Amino acid sequence: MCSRSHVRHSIFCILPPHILRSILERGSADQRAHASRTLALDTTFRALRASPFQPQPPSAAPLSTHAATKQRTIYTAQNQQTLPGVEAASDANPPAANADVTIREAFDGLGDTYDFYADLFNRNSIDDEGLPLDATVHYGNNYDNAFWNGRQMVFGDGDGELFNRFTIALDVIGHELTHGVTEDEAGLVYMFQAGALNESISDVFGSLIKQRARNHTVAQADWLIGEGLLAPAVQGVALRSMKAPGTAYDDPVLGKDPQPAHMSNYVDTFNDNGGVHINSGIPNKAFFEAAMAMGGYAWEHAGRIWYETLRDSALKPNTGFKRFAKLTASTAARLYGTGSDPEQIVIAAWAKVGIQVTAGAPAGTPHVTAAA
Amino acid sequence: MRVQFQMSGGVGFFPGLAAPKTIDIDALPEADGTALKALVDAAAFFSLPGRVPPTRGAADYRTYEITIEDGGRRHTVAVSDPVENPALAKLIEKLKSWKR
Repeated sequence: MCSRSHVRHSIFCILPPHILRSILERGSADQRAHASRTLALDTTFRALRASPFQPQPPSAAPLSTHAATKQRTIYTAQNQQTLPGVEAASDANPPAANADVTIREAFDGLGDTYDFYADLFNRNSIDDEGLPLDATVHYGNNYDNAFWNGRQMVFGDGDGELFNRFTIALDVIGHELTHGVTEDEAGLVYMFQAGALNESISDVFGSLIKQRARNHTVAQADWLIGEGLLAPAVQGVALRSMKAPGTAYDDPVLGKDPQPAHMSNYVDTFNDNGGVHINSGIPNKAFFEAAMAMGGYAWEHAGRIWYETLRDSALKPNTGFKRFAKLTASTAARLYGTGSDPEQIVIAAWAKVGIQVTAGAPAGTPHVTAAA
Repeated sequence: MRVQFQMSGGVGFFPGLAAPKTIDIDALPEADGTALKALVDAAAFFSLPGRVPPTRGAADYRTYEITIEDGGRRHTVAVSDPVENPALAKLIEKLKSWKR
């Protein structure tokens, strides 16, 4: 679906602004390639309009066509830092029930993530072209992190004092793979507001992947990111809270969760690539508010609106919160109708975090002009 | 010799882990200072490239910034995961686990 030859760079935290601007100018041209796909969604939109705005049960079984293209491989770095490491499991050689729990969690988590995108959005892997899903576990020595290196996922074992193994949290696995989806669809620059949106999208879909695997409604979901990841001695419950940003931990070693829940507390900083993991609390909270107001299963309506927004060609690499908010509202109007409950709910959700959006299409409606 | 170390990024931002560390090697017990200096020398620190940009499309990686002053020399190295230079990776591992 997306060319891999994009001149798009989402990471330039150490480049000076004038170079970044020049890259952005080049990168934005790539987004035009996305426009033609929007029309392909038309049948999806029609189907949605035909159904009442009511939560529906999730599909019980994955489509068999997807199972054939799921290609997972789990490697172990054997506590070194060489990627990808030694192959430990794959779809051709699945891990046994008594295999290393880290390998099993990574294998299953990749499967849950693949199935989520395939079953709900008919997406064939993170690039929609069946990209094999690779993950490396046991990376480094007591390595306290998980990351997406642009091609694969990497998980550390944690040090046991602050963090447990990073495969323990399905939402973190979904979070990392969703970075691949975002890079493929939007190339959101990993800095400042665009970077915070990039992070928030990973949290949103990471959480939805966990909610679906647990069959949780919006009321049953914990709306935490990385629950179970903090070691027992740490004073906290998770890495982040979508329902109450800023409350996930308050610990003598880690410090206090710095996430704002409202634009009035937006953090201007050069740390963390311009606060990408900090200010993501604001769009996270907006999604939470929208999902709670819609009820049912969060992936069915709020999740679909956010997913179709991510695919919208109007979502440029340097998109900020306000433009993203407008795009979610216009996507809701496109999917459910202008003035529909979902559109109003989305607008109200952004208002709760201090972002005012008016109803109606935002500047530029490329899904209309893409007909040529 | 004076070493400054700062770690940023990762799957979350933790204010407590992001705080910079400064180590005055000359003020350390001799064995500790010698061991740390050996890691700096093994990495050929003053000959390393200054800033290595992260891989495009990557996310949640950690970035490590190390500045070392030694006599009249001063050099800063900033690298992100995965750190492919094994000698530099060892130095970073040591600095990460260094107690303030």
